[in-house]
Amino acid sequence: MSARHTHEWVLPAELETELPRFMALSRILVDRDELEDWIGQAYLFTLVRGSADREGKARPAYSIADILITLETSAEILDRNPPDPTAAIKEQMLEPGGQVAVVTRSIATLWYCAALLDLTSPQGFITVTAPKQTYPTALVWQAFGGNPMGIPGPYYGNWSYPGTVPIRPIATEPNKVASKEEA
Amino acid sequence: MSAPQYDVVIAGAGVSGAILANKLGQAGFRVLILDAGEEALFDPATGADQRQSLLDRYFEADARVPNSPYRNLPWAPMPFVTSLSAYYYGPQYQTQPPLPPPAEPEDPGHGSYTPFKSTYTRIVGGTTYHWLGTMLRYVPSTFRERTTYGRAVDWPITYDVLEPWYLAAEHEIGVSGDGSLDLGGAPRHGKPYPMPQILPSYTDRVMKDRLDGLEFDGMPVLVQSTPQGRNSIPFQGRPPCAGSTNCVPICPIQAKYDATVHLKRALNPSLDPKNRPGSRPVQHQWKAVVTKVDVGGDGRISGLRWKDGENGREYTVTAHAYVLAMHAIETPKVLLWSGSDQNGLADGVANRSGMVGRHLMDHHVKISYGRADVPLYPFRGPLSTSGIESLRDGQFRRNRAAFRVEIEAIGTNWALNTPFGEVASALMRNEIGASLRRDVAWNVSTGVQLDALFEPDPNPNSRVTIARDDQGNVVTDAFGVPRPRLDFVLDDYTLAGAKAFEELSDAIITRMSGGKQTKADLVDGFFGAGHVMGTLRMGDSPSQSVTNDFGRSWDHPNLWLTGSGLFPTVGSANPTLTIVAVTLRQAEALRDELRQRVGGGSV
Repeated sequence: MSARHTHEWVLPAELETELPRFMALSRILVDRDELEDWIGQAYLFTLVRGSADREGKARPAYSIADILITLETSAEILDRNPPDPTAAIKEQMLEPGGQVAVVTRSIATLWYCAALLDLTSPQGFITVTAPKQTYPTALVWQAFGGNPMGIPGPYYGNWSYPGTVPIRPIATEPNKVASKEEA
Repeated sequence: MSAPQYDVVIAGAGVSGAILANKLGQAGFRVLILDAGEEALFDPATGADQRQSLLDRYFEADARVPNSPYRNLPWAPMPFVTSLSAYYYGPQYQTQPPLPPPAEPEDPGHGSYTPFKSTYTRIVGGTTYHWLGTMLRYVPSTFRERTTYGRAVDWPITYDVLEPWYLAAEHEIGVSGDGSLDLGGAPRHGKPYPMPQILPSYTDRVMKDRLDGLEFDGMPVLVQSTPQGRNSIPFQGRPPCAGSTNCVPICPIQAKYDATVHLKRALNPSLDPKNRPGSRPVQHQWKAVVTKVDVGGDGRISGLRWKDGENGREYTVTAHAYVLAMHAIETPKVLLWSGSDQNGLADGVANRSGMVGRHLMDHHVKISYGRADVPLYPFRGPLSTSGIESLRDGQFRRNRAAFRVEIEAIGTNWALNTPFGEVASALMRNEIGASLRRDVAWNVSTGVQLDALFEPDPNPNSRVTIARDDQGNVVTDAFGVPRPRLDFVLDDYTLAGAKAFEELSDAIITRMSGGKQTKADLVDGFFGAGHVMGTLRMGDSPSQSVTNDFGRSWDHPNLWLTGSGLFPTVGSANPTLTIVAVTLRQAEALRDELRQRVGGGSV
């Protein structure tokens, strides 16, 4: 594990040994083998930390019990379903709903967006931002070949040509929502 | 009476204040510039930029809105789009107890009250830190709307008068553009831009192809390169755009112009490539919240009062001339707050016309969106590189608002919170693993978003006043300075323009989707464009306007107002190029006036 920054992200005692199980579940959720532990620690830290907004109102966080049961459930599914437990995770952790589904989706949002999102609205506004060191690592940019907004881009003019990440058609309905305005 | 401390004092270190300070310092005058902001984020000795703290704040922000990189100062609070009511005051902002709206607009069919949604930044360098960078000229008829279309008012100057200043502004800021394009009818007479155009986004290229031959309302629908205040080649010691995809709220490499370019030159004239012998460094005072101007018995401004943001002490500074360059909300607020029964100006300073604070304007923004049938590879360059400018002028302006269309190179970011919205949406459908990645990639890459900016109808009932509660007591911020009350009318003229935009959107989305989607999706309501304009109208007559065509107060000859507050009408184009053109013209007039008055200036 990279030593950088991890001293800032102290986990509660109950979760100190949970990083391996967190990483194992994460690898399935985002379909990547090479995730870095220091980022995982930042995300596990974010999952329990919560935060306060500008008015001091508490932001969502998850209870240690919910996180533990999610990781335990996932570890059992991973054991029982080699080599690819993706379908089983979906069927047994997401489709039944409840807190396990909520925590599982939130782990995926952390890896994809370096933030927790409001998953009650399709716009997915950010509710809690992970430590800033993780910002450029958010996988969503890699998924479609975009530049993480605000990280200096690669070179002049690259935007004028097709990207290098292959983009293939899927069969889903377009995302549609109402206004996000707030007075 | 003792001699004034300075030749000119400038309140506000945004784009207008910084340019004026630079030009007057170069002319050898003793200049003081004040700003409420905390510090200048550059090294004045070398000009080295120091914006990392802004980026760090942005990366940590939960709400990534235009003001998120900037510290909300305890002594100079600013509005945030996510919490407008924390600063703006009035019936549209959940004021407690609720306030009644003002009398309805005289013509009840004219529009209805709505929240003013645009914001600005109280930082040294001003809102140019988070402007998009669009550098369009207004079309000539925008200066003659009363004469040409029988509505609104004429400016006291024409396009022809401003044209050389437009050209000068393009060189001051550094604009990349294609000088051969006719962008809706603003003639350039063959004059090139200082830099080649910014390469169009891949989205633009597909759209240009798909819209070939499309007409709307008898006008061609042309996808054209937007002139932009961002570098396509090295310029002013700043690098070309690298595709950081973050013009708003902050360019990480300063490829996009911001007012610190001129501020550095003002504070250290040797950094100015046109530095002249006899130039003087401009003095500065940061953390200075300007509260009032004082008026002497002769009707001239006799002092400018400011409070120190750290200790709250009030000071007065004196000068031969005073410039208020604090934007179209803070400036009228100070003028209105400066009036009193004691100085015989109960309605406010510079307000004999009653026009201070009136005609507050923004470009209402309507967003439409849809899905292309091919990937557009967004989020890899400037937020927008092309627009549709060919619909900005015509006889239709008698009846409905003109609009320009900004073509987004960041997919449906405003409409759907792309790309995060796609992640949320896919997870809610229980997508994980490889299918999550494919789903997000396709949905993000095929999003098309069009933003239309509408020309507003200037309305005297859209106005800035001093905030007062239901008992009539002044409502102040935590620093004891009045908050602005904003009343703002969404006019029927804009709504009629929006209807036309909806029809155009259907035609564009039909072509972009290959016929799979024939109705564009629309985001409800309107957004603000971040263009705070009007409230200090310039004109030909002291009874109908606040200043003359140079921004000089009719009532107080040594008081100069500046920025987009001066604009009588605003067309549909983003205002910054016109702000700079008007400011450069004003700088020359102010320089000539100061030479006459103080004989000063060594150049």
